[in-house]
Amino acid sequence: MTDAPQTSGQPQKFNARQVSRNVYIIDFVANVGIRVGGVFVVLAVLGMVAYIIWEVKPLFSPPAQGMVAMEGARPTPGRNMLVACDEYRRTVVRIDDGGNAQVVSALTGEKLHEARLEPFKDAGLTALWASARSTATISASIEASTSEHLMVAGSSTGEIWQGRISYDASYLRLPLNPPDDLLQRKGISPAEWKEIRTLETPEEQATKEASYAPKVLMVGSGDRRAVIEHLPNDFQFYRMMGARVDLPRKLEFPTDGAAIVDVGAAVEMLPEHDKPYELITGAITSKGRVLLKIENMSINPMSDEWEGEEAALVDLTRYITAGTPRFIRIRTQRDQCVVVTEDGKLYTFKRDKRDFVPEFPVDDVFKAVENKSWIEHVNAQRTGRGFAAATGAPRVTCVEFLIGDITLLIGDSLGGLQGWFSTKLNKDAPAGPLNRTRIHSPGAGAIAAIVMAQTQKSFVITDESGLVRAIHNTSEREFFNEKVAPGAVRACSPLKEEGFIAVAGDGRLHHWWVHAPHVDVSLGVLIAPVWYESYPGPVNHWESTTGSADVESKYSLVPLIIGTLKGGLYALLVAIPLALLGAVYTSEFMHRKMRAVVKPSMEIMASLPSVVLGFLAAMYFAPEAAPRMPTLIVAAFVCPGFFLLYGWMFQQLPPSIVSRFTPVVTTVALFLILMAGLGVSSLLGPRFEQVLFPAVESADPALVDARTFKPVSDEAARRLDTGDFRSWTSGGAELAQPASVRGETLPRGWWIPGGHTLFKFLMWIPFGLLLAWALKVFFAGGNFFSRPIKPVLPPSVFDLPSILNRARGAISGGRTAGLWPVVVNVGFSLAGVAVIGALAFGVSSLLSPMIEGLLFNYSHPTAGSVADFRRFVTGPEGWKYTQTNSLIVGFAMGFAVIPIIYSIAEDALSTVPNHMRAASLACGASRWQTTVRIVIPAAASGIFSAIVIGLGRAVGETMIVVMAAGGTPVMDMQPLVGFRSLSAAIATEIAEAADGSTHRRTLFLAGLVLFLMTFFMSTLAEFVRMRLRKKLNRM
Amino acid sequence: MNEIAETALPVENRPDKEIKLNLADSLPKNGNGSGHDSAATESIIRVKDFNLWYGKSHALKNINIEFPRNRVTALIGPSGCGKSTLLRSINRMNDLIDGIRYEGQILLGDQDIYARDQDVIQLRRHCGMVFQKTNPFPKSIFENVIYARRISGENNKRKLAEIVESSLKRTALWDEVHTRLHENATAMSGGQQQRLCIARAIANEPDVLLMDEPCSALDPIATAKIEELILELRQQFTVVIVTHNMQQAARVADYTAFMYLGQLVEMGPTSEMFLKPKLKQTEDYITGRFG
Ligand SMILES: Nc1ncnc2c1ncn2[C@@H]1O[C@H](COP(=O)(O)OP(=O)(O)OP(=O)(O)O)[C@@H](O)[C@H]1O
Ligand SMILES: [Mg+2]
Repeated sequence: MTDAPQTSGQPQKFNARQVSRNVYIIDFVANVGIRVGGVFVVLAVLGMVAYIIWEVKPLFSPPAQGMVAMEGARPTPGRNMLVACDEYRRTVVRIDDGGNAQVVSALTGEKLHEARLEPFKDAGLTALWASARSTATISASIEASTSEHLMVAGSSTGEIWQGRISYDASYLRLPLNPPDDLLQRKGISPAEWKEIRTLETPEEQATKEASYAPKVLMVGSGDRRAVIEHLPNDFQFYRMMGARVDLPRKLEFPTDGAAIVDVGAAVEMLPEHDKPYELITGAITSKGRVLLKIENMSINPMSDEWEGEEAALVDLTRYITAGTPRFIRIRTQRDQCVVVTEDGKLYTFKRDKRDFVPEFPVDDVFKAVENKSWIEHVNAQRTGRGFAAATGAPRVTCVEFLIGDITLLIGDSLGGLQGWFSTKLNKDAPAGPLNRTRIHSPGAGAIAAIVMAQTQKSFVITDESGLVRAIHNTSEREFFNEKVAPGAVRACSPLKEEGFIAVAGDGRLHHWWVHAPHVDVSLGVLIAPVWYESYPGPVNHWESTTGSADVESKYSLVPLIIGTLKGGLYALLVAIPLALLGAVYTSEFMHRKMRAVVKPSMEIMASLPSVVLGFLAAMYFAPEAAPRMPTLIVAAFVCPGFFLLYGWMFQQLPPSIVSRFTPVVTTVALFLILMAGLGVSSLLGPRFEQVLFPAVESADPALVDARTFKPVSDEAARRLDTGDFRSWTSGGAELAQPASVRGETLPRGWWIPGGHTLFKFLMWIPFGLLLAWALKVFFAGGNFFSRPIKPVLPPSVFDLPSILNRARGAISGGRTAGLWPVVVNVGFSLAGVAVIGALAFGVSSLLSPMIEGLLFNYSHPTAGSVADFRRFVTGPEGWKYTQTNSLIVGFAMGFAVIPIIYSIAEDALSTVPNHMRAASLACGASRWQTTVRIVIPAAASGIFSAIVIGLGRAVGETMIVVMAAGGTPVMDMQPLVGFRSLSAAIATEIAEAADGSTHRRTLFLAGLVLFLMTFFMSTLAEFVRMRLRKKLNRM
Repeated sequence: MNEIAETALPVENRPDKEIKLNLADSLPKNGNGSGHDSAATESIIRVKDFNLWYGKSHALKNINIEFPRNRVTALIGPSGCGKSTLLRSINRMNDLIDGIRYEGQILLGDQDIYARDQDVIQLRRHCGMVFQKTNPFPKSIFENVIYARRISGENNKRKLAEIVESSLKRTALWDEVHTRLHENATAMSGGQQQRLCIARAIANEPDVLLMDEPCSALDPIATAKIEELILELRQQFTVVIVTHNMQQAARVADYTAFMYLGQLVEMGPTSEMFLKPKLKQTEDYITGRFG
C-alpha cells in the first residue's frame, strides 16, 4: 500500500479512501480464502496420514487382556492331566490322573457335573491325548449341534480307551419376558431367570474396564446340565452350552499290562457324512514298546457308537535303538508319525500302506546350537530373561504339533522350547528331514504343556514354575504371559483364541480373555527374512491369501518394496535417456518454432491415462515383444550406435556441407537413421539369437549326450541349431527327479551347459577397449591412474600416427577441402575400429573359455566339472523369462514418466540464463560443449529433481503394474520376470481383505510405506529444486 | 550529461584527477592516440559494406570501418544505434539470433568470416568477447579462466595453472584471488567478476578482444582498474570497446567511431574526434547536446 498513488498538490497524508474500497474487499477475501484453502489442503493430507496410521497402529499395539473370575471352581483330587473348553469359553472340562472328569462353568467356576470315568475306577490314568481341533460336528437340528474332540486315554494297567469330549450347544428361542410356565417346562427356575444378563464381548469389556463377571444360569440335570446365557446381539435367543466326556471303546493293544506312558491318535472323518473312516492310535508303554493300530471305522446304527475293524497293528519298538520312547504323535494326514525318546532322540516314520517304516535318519533334539551345547544355549536364553540357569541333563517333557501338523514343538525339562519341521529344497521337491528351525524363548521351569491354537500358528505353553504364555510361532511374539501356582499346569486355547483357560498346579482354574488379532505380524515379519513352515530357509515373502488355515499368510513388505523400486528402476532406465536427451535437444538445439510445437505435445502425453498404457503393454506390447526379444536387444544397441555414428560423421563434414542441413533435413535424416537401425536390428536379431542363445537347453535331454553334451544324431543337431531366447532364459530348470533317457538314468539336477558364445561376445567389449588403450599406450604413452606411462615405441622410433597421416594424405591426394578427404578420414577410422575389433575378438575367443572355466565352473552331476557361464545367469536360481516382465513394464511406465521428466528437465535447462551460453560460445565452445559443460551442470539440480519426481511417479504408479507386471512378489532385479509393487498389492488385494484383519492393516501399512517413499522423493526433489533456483538467481 | 564537454578534455586536465587512481601515470605516453601511428598501423578487421537486418528492421546500414591492430577502438553512439550489433557481428554471435540476415563482408586478417566454410568456433577463438553483464560460469575461478583452453582439449595441469596465473596477473586479479582459486566465481564482487571475464577471454590468446560496455555496471574504482587493464592489453590485443562513457572513450581509446541510427557517422583518432570532430552531429553527441 506504500505505492498507493498520491496526487501532487494534495497534502501528503496517507488516506485509504484514495483507493477504491473494492480493492480492499477483494484483497481481503482472496487473502482469507487462500489461507483457508491452504489450511484445508494441509489438514486433508494430515488427516489422510492420520487415518492410515490409525488403521495400521493395532498391528503393533499390545494385545488387550483381562481376567474372568472363576471363584466357584473346586480342585479335583488328583494331578491335572488335561483341561479343555468349548469354542465359546463357557464350559471347561478337566481330567485328573485319577480319571475324575469335571465340567465347570468357565464364567463362574460353578460345577456342572463331575464323574469318575468308568475305565479308571480301579486303575490310574497315565496317558491322555485329546485332539485340540474338533474332529466331528454333529448337528441334530438347526438349534442344537455337538462338536466332538477325539480323546484317547491309557491306564496304569496297560489298557487303552478311546472316546471323546463333546460340547453341546443348543439355541433357545424365548419371548422377551417368558411366562413362568414356559420356563418351568424348559426346566428353568423363573426366579433365576430374572438374573440372566446379556454377556458382553471382551472388546466391550476392555473399553469399559469392567470386571468380566456375567451372570449365567445352570439348567438341566446330570451330564446334560448346561450354562444358559442371553446372546449379545439378539434378545430373543438364548444359548445353552454343556460338555460331556466319555470313553466307551476299549482298544486291544498287546501291552502286557505295562502302564501306558503316552498315547496319540489321528482320525479321518468322511467329510460329507461326518463319519470316522480311519483311526490310527499310537501308544507307548512303560516297557518301551511303541505300538500303532490302524483301524477302519464305522458307526453302529443301533448304538450310535464307533466300531473299528483292525487293519494293522504296527510294532515300532524294534526301530527305537537308543533311549526310552516317551512321546508319540501322529499327523492328522496319517502319513507320518514321530516318536521322541526322553533323552531327545527324534524318530520319524512314514506310512507305507498298512505299515509304518523309518523315514529320516534319527535326529537329536538336544544337538548343539551353533557350537553351543543345548544346555548352554537354553541357559543363555534363560539368563537373558532373568531366570536362574537350569541344571541337569535335558529331558523331553512335551511334544505337540502346531496347526497344520507341519511344525513339531518340543519342550524340555530345562524350559527350552524348539520347533522342527521338514524343509523342502523347492516347492516341487519331496519333503526333507525335520530340521530345527526355531528356538523360542524358554520357560522358567520344565515345560508342562503345549497347546496349539486353532486358527493361526500360535500356541499356549505352560511350565512347572506356573508360567502360562502364548507365543506366535512365526512372528515369535509372546503376546500373553501370566503366572499361576506352580506344578503340572495345563492350559487350553479355544477355537476363537479370544482367551485361555489354565488349571494351575494347585488345581485352581484361571480364565483370561485376550484380544490379540494381529500377533502374526511383527516388525521382524514385515522386514526380516522369516523361516516359514516347509521353506528351505528364511525368506522375505508376500503371500496374503493361502487358501487354507493350515498354511499361514506371509506378510513381508520387502518384496513389495523391492518390486516398487524395481518398477521405478526399469521405468527410469527407459525414461531417463529418452526424456533427458529429448529435453536437451529441445532446449538447446531445436529450432524455436519446432519447440513451440513439441513441448506442449509432450505435456499432453503426460495426461495419457496409465490404465491405457498398462492395457496396451499387457495386451499388445508384451505378446508382440515376446518372440522379438533378441531383435529388441539388438536394437537397443544398434539404434543408438547408428545415431552416434551419424553424429560423428556429421562432425567430420566440412562447414559448407553442414550448413545445408536445415532443421527439416536433420529431422528427416534422424528419422531415416532410426528406421535403418530398426531394419538392421530385425535382420540381425534372429541371427544373433541363433548364435548367442542356442536352443540347447530347452532341449529335451534325449537330444544330447549326458557326458559330452554333443547332439546324439544329425536330426538332434538340426533341431538344436536354432536360437531360442525365451527358453534359453526360462528353460533349463534342473531335472527335479531322476529321468531315464536312452536307458541311462540322468540324475536330479541334470543340466546342459550353454552360453559359451554369449560369454565370448560379452568379453569382446572389455578386450576391445583394453586393446585400444594398450595400442595407444604402446605408441603414444598415456596415463595409468594419473601416473604417466612412457610409450614403448615412441614417435621417434616408430611414428605410427604420422605414417597413417601420410597414408591418409596420399590417398586424399593432398586435398583438404571437399568431400573426398572426409570419406578417407571416415574410412580410415572405421578401418581402425574394425582392425582393433577383429583383434579383440580373436583374443576373446582364445581367452574367454579360460576365464569362463576359472570364474563360472561348477560340478555337474554327469560330466564332472563344467564351465558354464549361462548357469550363473539363467540357471535354476538365475534369470527366468515371463511374458509380462519388468522390461515391458519399464517401457509402459517409461512412457508414463517421460513427459514429466522431460518437461521438468526442459524447464530447468531453459531457465539457464542465455548470457551463460553466450559466454561459453564466445570462448569458442561448440553448442554441444556449451550444453555439456555449462548448461547441464547449471541445470543439474533441476534435472536431478526431474528424475526424482519421475521416480516418485513410477513408484506410485498402479495400473500399469497391475496389468503388465505379472504380479508375482519377487526379491530380485531380474529384467525378464515381473514383480508386485506396493501399489499393485493394495489395488488388487484391498477388496478381498476383511475389515479389521491383519491383511487389511498390512495393506494400509504398505500404503503408508508408499506414501513415505513418494513423500521423501518429492521433498528431496523440491529441496534440490530450491537450491537450483537460488543458484540461478546468483547468475 | 552536463560534464561531457568537460570530460572530453585530455585526462591530465580533468578535475577529478585527484582521485587516487594514478590514472594519468598509467596512461601510455601516446595515450590519446595522437594520429602519428595511424598510418603505420595495418587494420586487422575490415568491415566492408556490411548490412544487417533483424527480421525487417535494418540494424546496420552499409557499415565500412577498419579496426587497426594493437589499438583500442571505441564505438560510441546513442542507445539502439547498433554498436552491440556490430560488435557481435565480428565474432558472429549474432548467428544465435533467429531471423537475422546480412550482406557485405567482414574480414579478419584476410579471411572473410562470413564465408561458407568459415569455422565459427575457430573465429571465436580469435575474437574474445567481454559482455556488459558480467557472466562468470558457476564454476571455480580456476575453471572459469581455463574454460576456453579446456574445451580446446588442453589437459596438461601445469600448463593450465600457468595460464591461470598469467591471465589473472595480467588482469590484476592474481593478488586478490590467488588464495581462493577454487572457490566459486559467482561469489566475487562485480568488478572482480568483470576482470575475471576479461581474464577468461585473454586466456585463450585471441587476436581481438571485443568489449561491450564492460564497465557500465561497475563503480568508478573498478572502472578505473579495468580501463587501466585495457591500456595494458593494447600491447598485445586489438581491442574494440563499446561505451556510453565519453570520458572512458577519451581515456582508453586510440580511435573512436561514432555511430548513429545504424550508420557509421565518423571515425578517427580519439583526440581529433573529441577536440575537432569533422561533423556537427558528432560534436553534438560528444558535447551532450542530444541523447
Ligand atoms: N535480438 C534482437 N532482435 C531484434 N532486434 C534487435 C535485437 N538486438 C538488437 N535489436 C535492434 O537492433 C538495433 C540495434 O541494437 P543494439 O543492441 O545493437 O544497440 P546498441 O547500440 O548496442 O544500444 P545500447 O547502447 O542501448 O546497448 C536496435 O534498434 C534494437 O532494437
Ligand atoms: Mg548494446
